Amino acid sequence: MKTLSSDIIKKIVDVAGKNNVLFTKEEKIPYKNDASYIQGLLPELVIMPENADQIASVLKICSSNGVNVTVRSGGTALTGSSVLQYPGILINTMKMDKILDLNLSSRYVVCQPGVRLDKLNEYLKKYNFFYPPDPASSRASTVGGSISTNAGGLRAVKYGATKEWVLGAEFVTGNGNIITTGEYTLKRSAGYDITALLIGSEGTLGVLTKAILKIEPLPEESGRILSFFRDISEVGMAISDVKNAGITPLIAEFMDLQTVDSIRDRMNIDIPEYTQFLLMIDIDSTKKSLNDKMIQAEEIIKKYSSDIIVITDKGKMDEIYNARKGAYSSLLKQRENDKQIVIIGDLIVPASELPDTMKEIRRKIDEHKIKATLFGHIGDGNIHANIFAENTVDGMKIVDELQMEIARIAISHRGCVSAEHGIGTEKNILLYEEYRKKNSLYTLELMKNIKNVFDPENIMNRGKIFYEKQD
Amino acid sequence: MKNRIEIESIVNKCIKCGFCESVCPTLPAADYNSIMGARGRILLAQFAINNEDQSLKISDSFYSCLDCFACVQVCPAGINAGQVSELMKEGIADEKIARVNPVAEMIKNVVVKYKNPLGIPEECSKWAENIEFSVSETLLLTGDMYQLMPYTRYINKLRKHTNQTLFMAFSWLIGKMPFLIKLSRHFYDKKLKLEMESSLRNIVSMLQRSEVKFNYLREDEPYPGTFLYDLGYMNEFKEYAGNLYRYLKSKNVKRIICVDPHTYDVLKNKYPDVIENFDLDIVYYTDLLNLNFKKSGEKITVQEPCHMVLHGNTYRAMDILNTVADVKLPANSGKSTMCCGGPDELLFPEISENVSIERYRNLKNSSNKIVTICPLCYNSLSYDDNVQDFSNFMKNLM
Repeated sequence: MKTLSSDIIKKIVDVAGKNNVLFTKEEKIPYKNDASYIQGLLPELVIMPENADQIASVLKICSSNGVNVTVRSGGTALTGSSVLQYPGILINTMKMDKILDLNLSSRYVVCQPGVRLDKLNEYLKKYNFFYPPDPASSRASTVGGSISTNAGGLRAVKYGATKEWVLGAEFVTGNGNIITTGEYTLKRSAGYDITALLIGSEGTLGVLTKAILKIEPLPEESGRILSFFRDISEVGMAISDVKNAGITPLIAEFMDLQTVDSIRDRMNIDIPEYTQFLLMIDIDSTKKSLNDKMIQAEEIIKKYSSDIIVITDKGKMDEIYNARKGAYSSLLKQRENDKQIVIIGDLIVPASELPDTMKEIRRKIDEHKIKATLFGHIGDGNIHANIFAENTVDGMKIVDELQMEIARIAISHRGCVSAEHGIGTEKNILLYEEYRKKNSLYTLELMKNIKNVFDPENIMNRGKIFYEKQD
Repeated sequence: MKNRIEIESIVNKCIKCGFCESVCPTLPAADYNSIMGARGRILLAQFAINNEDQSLKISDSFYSCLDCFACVQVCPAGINAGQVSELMKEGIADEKIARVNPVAEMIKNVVVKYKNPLGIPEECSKWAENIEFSVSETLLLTGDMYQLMPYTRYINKLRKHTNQTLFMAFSWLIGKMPFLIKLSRHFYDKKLKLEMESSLRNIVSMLQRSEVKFNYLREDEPYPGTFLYDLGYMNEFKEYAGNLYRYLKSKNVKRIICVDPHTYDVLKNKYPDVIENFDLDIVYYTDLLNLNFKKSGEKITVQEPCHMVLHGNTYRAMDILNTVADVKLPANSGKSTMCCGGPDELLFPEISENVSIERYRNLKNSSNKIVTICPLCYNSLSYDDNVQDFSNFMKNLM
């Protein structure tokens, strides 16, 4: 890939507007990183478009001239999906940060991609509504980014991941066509679901410029039950029995002892000494029936845990919720030195398979004699295995091996190598392995063919999702 | 670079999650140009200390930081991105690791020469004409912040109609010939000057009616050097603070009453860092008020000053307001309060204005009436007559 010619730069600047382009090295430096440990290349230009037309015009020029394009908004990706793997330009959609429309009776809100998720929920709260997907990064992550990775979060056990909440979109394809997909309606039966195809596409098909999102009334009331366990199997059985009793928790989180230790101060609760695992479940209901549901769940959990804390105070609940959301970051305090990095893993298995999967993962980690902690969303089988790694060639080689072995464990339990963080560059080999193990590599070929329709010149977010051998 | 290890120890802890930039007021105000936000500043500092690339123009990134410390409150790794900006500004100012901003250089030279940011101490004390003060070991130190606001507002009005290069050139010239700053005595916003002087008089009146005995040095009042600290001139600040401390001791001062959060913060928290055995008692004027205020019953919202709530200082102003009015705090309040944009007014007026407009709208969502507790906040947010400084609001309830 050649450096951009002055002619192409001029064409891009002309259509994007000079004030929407960052040229200087110092301005581009921050875009070498997102929230992952993967460092990307310095973009040749950073484009900060204000609308879909500008993006379409830029992409037409890039497509005609073979200029690679990476897309970014909040820059909170954990798999390197928003940094450059190949030389090219970067499109940052943060200037498109408006909430465009809200319709409570039809249950939708229309947003530009740069709206941060917490800002969106702050806005919806005024109307007693909310947008359920809540990745731990919701303070900084955006509508655009969360759609592009099909983000999940703590509430996914009840509300599902982002894909359940996107009704439609405006999207610019890699070759510069502006398309609209889906509708403003809760139901639609009209040919291929292109909206669904865009969700989780990680900028490989084009750029999202508008999203029609489904919204929900805020739960009337909710309460939290914290319980403590010696063994992960007991955690699994407790949550399984709760669900079998017809209670779908709002959230159902587990943490191992090391994770609990990292947020012990922020949670500010008494934790029994025997604790190896903590289970945190939230139950929502009407004011009238919440108490009954809480008592029912408590009775079930008591069969497996002798210590239970029930919390209904909103302030205290927020305190603990924020502590859990910050668990990954809090683990950093356990690093042996500043150079050590914590790689946050993300895989999913059917919820019933979680205890066995966890035990196998722990065994594998111990075999490698690597420090790693485990926490995740037990309600939906999502495990985050967080590996403390030396940021050296040898250190990362061990991490890669371990990631592959853990991925194989998940696959063997009918799971997937990524639950909610996407593939990026970090997991493209793992994704290949998943389909190889499932004897379905043709699925990956189909994906590539779909990409080719949206992005015939293969300029969009190269190196992400699909492994490409670099020259 | 002498701060290299300190900067390294902060930036290497960063996990680049972006939480800091989600609350950094300057990022959206600068059209999301990443280096004008907290995470970008961390990444730029990391790059700058690891690559001695003199061609990089990094100064604006750090000078534009409002020092509000909103980033600190949300960082899961416990990093202080604001401190990185402070350390980088110090490197720029003291070691010239990058281009020094001409406006910053002008302010430094004027402060060092005249012990006053405008070079006109006599103008800065006019508000106190006809007021009697006590002979006391307690001193009212205005910090010149109230007095400065009418001048910065006027200069920025002029600046909007002036070529930016010309303005920078003029700043550079004053930096070289500081006496030219004295021309500024003719350039001030008349209405704001009346308001600011009225605020100072009201503060004195409330303190005196609370039977607090204190002195005021009038045209001999020294400026505490707040700008030297804010702009990273640590060598000059240390010397300046030392001289000021000795001067105050020579006047037998034991306690200082501050009337704005910036001066309070610098005297309370920064002076002890640079002066061994610093033993002056620093108090905020609201904490000395002992009056039975009438109840207003009015619905108000409050702009809480960053230099109080986000810099870990405590003050009684909110308690007092809660007893007299129906306080409706905005969405961003307490530890989530948002800066008014004021600190950027001299160096980055556009960013300052964008931040202030955003904050003004945010406050207006809570109440039509806004009370500020800092002269910078008042200057930045007083887009209509329903914005009042604490001192003026409370004066009416005496």
